[in-house]
Amino acid sequence: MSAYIVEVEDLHLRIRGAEILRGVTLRVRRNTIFVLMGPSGSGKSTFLRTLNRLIDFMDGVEVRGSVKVLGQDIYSVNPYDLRRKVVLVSQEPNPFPHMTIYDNVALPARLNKVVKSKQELDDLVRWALEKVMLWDEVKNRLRNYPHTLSGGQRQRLCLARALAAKPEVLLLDEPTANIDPVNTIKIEESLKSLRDEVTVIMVTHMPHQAVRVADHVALLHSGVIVEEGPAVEVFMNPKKEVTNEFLRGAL
Amino acid sequence: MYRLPDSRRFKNRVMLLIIIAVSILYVTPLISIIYTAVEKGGTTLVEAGLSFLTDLPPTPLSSGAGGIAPALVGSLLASILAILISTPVAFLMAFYVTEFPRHSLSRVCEVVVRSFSGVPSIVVSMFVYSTVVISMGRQSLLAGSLSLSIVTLPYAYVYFTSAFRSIPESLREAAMSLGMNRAGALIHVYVGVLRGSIVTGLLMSYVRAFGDTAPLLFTMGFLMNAVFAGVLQQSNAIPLNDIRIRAITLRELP
Amino acid sequence: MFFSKSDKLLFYSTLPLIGGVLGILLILSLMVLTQSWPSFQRFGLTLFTTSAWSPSDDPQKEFYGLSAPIISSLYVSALSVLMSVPVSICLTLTMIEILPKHLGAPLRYVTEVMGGLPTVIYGLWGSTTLAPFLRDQVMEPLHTYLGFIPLFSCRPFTGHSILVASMTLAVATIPYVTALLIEGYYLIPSKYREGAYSLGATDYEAYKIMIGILKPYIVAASLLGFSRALGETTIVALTVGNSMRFSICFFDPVHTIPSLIANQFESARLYEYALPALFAGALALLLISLVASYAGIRLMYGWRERIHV
Repeated sequence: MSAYIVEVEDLHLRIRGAEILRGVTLRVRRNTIFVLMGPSGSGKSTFLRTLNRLIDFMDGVEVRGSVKVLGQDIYSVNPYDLRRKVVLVSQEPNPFPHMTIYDNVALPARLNKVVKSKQELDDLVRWALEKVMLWDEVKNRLRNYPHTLSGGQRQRLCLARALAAKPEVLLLDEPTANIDPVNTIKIEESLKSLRDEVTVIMVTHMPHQAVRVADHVALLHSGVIVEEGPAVEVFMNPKKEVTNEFLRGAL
Repeated sequence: MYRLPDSRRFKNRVMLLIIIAVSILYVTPLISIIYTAVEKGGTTLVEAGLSFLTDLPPTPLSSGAGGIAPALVGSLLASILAILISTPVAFLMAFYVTEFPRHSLSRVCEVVVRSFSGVPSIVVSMFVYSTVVISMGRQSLLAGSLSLSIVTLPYAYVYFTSAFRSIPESLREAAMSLGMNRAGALIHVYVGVLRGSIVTGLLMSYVRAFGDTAPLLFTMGFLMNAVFAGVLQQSNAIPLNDIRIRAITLRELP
Repeated sequence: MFFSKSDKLLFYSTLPLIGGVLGILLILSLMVLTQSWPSFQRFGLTLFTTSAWSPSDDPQKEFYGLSAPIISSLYVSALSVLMSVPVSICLTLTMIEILPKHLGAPLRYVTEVMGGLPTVIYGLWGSTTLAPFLRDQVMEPLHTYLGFIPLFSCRPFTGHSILVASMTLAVATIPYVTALLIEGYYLIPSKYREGAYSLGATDYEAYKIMIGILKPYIVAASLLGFSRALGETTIVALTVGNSMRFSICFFDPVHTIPSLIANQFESARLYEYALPALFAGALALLLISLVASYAGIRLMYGWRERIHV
């Protein structure tokens, strides 16, 4: 079995004729936090959505190259199966407004009927909320609706919901871009503790965040991977000028 | 890789089929309606030829299908007149409400006009009857048009408010920063931007006016012996013709 | 609010227009009230508790009661909403999600066009095509085999009945409700759809979530559709059978307020209390319809604000 849970080989992506990704190659090891950095508009979010085939829903999408998750080419499997194991958390918090906090977190488990009893479901919800450090804040108001939570709490709720799906790979699209600093730190702390459960692929345009959480980083610029490697190496000795500029916040 | 349990896959397929089936369920009566209309109406048209549109209705003594000219003219004129009144008014009202949204009058207007888009059109007919028809002494094309315009106004209003609200804020700012006041912005900028919406609004209101029967029931009259007698005289309308003939044939059944 | 003197001028010059229109609507409502007043004086509450239509040359002998038409109006309209809303939901999903773009768009146009169709065509179709068909294929068998159920216990005669009227009404209001639902569906922020699929939901599961989010809006659309159905005249006049009797049996003919008015208005002028009685019915209709519309609109606005949280 490959040590790499995600393997991308020469990925080209066009949307309505515009080239977004021009030959991306990278590999992600299991149980690591892989951070994809890059300036806004470099195609990071789109790349993420290629990994779980959410781009299937867009018009005019052309994909070339190979993407393998868990050793299988993602275009040879059922996309719904894929998304069950590769779960994405969107940039903007999107807890379902018509479901209670509890029901939001419980949703993936209910869809799959993996949980046999009410007690198991309760335990799963509690586990997920504890992982994102939200449990203490909401344990007495599980029957409330998401709109009673703050923005940062809502994003953590979405993270908990994703975790409750027990994915293999967790895709995070700029998870703290719209969040206050306190919640940002909480989310980053949670990520570090998640390494045992999942592999995290996170996208960010904030170099400081990458520094704080990454095991492994890659810089996406103009549709290609300009540099990649273990976090410490890239931050200490960036090989490319572009990387340097990004890390200094110039890009 | 995880594989979706067959039960979930199956349920997905079944529910999608049900949803589509129900949609087809709707399309069936549609086809039936169009078929019935074309079959029954078409045969008459084919038999009578073009004169069907230009002749007067048959008198009890004549044979043949005669024509529906008075009704056709009445419907057309009444609808045109109605939208000529209601569309500009609705347009201006929509402009007003979107320009001064925080004024209490705008808020009242929004609530009231939108609620009245559900008003039973027959009540409007009764209203116009009790006011216009009674004071004029007779039914008329004018009364029918007024009736139709009251009924179409709320719809045109709702449509135009959406249109005005969809004007991008940047356009408004541009107009204001060029020194235009609100009225100027309307004339020089908004009307141009909303050209398409105005035309659609007119057409939409016309279609609604042309097809609505109830407002005309007590106000238009029943002109059978002339094509057009003047705006202040009785007229006829296609829906009225249909209903009355239908009512007559129904009453003849035991 | 006023950026300049010319703005103020604009405001005050358009004010009469708005005031005028609102005034007309106010006068309309008041007029319905005043015109119906004589019937309240004469019959009091029996107008709404009994059901009868007995005009007479002698004003003393006139008697009118509107209970049956009012209840039947509500009944027929409610039935039509119950039938049209599920179909509209399915149509919306089919058009927006299930069908590919080049099929979904034409279906939407077709539905919009049908919405503009003159109601008299629906009425004539209901009367000449649907009624006989339903009577022979549906009503008679149901009455014969399941006649013990109160809803099927009456003998269908011409076919013109509660069932035909509400079905034709449903077909006629589906375009309106569907248009509302489509608008509402597009208002749902796309992040929720993405969220559903990102968690591995199947298509149907994703639609269930979207419809779940839309639920208050669906209720609002139902209320507006109900209000529309309530005021519909032509269709019911041609299909409802025009009987003052009260019944819940699907196959019985009844009157709705609009059909009653359509039938009796012309001759009502000859009697003293007939016209006021009709206006009383119109008043009841107006009130219920305004309340339903208002509730629906408030629900819609409330929902719009909540989902952008």
